[in-house]
Amino acid sequence: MGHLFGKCQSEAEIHTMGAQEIIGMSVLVSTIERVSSSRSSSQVLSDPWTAASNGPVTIQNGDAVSEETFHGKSSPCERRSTTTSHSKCHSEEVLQEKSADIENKDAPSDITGAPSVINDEKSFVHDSASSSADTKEVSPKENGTSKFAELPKEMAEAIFSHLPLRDVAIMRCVNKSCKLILGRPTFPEERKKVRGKDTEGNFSPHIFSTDDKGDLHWYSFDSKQRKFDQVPSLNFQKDILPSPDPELFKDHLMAHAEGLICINTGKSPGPERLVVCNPVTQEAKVLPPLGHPRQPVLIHMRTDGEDHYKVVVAGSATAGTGDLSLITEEYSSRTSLWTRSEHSDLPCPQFGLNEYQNAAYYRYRNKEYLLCVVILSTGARGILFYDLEIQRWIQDDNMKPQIPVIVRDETTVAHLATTQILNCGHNVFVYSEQELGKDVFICIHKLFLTPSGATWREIVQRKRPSGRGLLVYPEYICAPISNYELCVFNTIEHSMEIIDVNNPSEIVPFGTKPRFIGNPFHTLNPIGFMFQPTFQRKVCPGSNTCSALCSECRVKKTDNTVRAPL
Amino acid sequence: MHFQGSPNMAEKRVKLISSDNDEFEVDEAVAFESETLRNMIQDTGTNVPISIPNVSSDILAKVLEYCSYHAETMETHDDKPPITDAQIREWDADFVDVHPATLYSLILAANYLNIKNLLDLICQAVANNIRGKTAVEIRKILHIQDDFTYEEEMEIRRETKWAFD
Repeated sequence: MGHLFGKCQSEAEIHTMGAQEIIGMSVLVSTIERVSSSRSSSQVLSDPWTAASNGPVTIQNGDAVSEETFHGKSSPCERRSTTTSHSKCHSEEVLQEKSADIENKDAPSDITGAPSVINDEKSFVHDSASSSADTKEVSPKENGTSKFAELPKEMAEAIFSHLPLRDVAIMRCVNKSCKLILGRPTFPEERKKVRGKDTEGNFSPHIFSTDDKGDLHWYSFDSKQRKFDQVPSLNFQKDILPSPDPELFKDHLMAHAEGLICINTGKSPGPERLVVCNPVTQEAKVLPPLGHPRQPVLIHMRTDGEDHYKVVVAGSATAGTGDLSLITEEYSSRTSLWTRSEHSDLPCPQFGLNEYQNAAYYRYRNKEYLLCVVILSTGARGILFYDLEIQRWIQDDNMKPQIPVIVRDETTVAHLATTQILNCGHNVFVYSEQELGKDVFICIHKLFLTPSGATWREIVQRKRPSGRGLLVYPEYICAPISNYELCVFNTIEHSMEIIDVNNPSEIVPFGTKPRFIGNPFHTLNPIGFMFQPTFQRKVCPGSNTCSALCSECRVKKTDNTVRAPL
Repeated sequence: MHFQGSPNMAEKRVKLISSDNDEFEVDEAVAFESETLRNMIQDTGTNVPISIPNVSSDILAKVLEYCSYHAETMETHDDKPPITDAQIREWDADFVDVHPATLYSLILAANYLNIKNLLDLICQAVANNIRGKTAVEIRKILHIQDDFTYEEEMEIRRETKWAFD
């Protein structure tokens, strides 16, 4: 196929030229080759900027075409240079000083009497009444010198949605307009177009630290990049998510589901205070109080369809409330209510649920279960199954498998020091430390359900690498780092060994230790979830404005300015 | 200016008029890369020139350059090997290697003409220019100003601390 371009035959020529050269060339070429044309005889495309609606063409992406610009109703500088020579839109240099900015705010408004071009929050509130006379000029410049600030905010949003997560976060700090664009309810949708169903990464295991200002830092192993990195922290909405007390953080039991975090910020011996937040969108809400207020031992969070989520809590760590220790309650974001079905109590002795945990999810023959570790009535440690459909724990003794322990001989049986249940991919694993005489063994077992009951397969059994006793609880945790890899993570030395669950005979030490600032602290609950940050999940799904549905909800109000329907 | 040289003379030609009254003539297949133009042509045919009142001739030339290349990549020739994805990526990378001001004009034009792949390509190119940069650098690159108060900036930096360390 031949070149379609008359004079502009060499594509390379165009690429290597600057904008001004292109402009010059085009003018030259067009002067020579201009074909006489008469506008009156030609069709005119409907112009979204003039809001002409009677044109024959329907603009497909009507939503994406707006008279609003990145800076609100800014106007082309060139045409108003006599009156707006001081305005920021005309100034090429970037003024960092706030004083310079204030000067700009004092700059005269343009000749049409439209609001100043300074981008205050108001200019971003959709103003459907903006006259076409004002907005007509927000069109591609005839000489090709458009500026970023003149782009409609939908275009700025489309650009930002192509940025990596960290750059999106930095973009929020660039100026108010950027922050507002990234807080628009349409940004997650735009992001989804670019990323598809991918989350912003898989992060596990986790290290938390606090600095001397009380700010929380969250470091995590990025399974794709294979390195530790900071992830979106919980340093937002301080009134809802207070800086954790390192000494008490162990009480701040955390659960996770597809980018949403559920954290108990209540302090013992008071009642729970459960907060659901999305660290990426910085939304947070306080869940209503439990029907039976307490400090739960188990918090499980899971998504419920595209938008909604559920939280299941069980047990009580609050002293003297043994009567609460077996109660299970379930929250649904669809109803914003806690419910408790009849016979929802854990089928185990009082305080049998005594290890902080998130429980694990298991699907078997179209049934969905939650699995948690308890002390069974036999005194042994085992697993209980919670049927998510009927909101009940299964009472059948055949469905209460004991966790396998090492037996050396008839009189020497290992003592289970720690146990942790976790998901890796669709499978459930139990990590345990078993004391046998002076030795401590690390064991990982995979759980299978069969028609005749639960069975186990040992994946790993090895002596602990150091001879150190159990100084800190838990010194080692187990966490998934992908759908087929587990790691055993030393929470004190921050060393890590990686186990491919399909090929568990090879255990690979991960060489690089994470660098972090602040004082690390340890959680009593071993966090065995893989954090998958995403813009898609809302703390208050089904409601953009979060008003009537839940009085407890405190979605960040500053973003409400852009929550008006577009 | 004329776009000439299509070997397939049977193909319908479309006349486009830029905001500065330059006339462009392209194969229908090239114009069809734009959803907006496709709808327009399907509604009213190719007899009447189509005026594009807010895209200047230099930008329209760039847009049509993109459309014609990508329309060409869709064609199959017996005598030529097909254009590989790698070649297209290389061409696209060259295409967006222009002054930022041109990119912004192209975004507006691509949005207006509804050429999704071009819009994605350019949004990615602008994003590439700012990724890995500091907030101060981004303000310089985009020619936008910091309008936070000191207190606001401290607060937002604290919230976003993870991204700066």
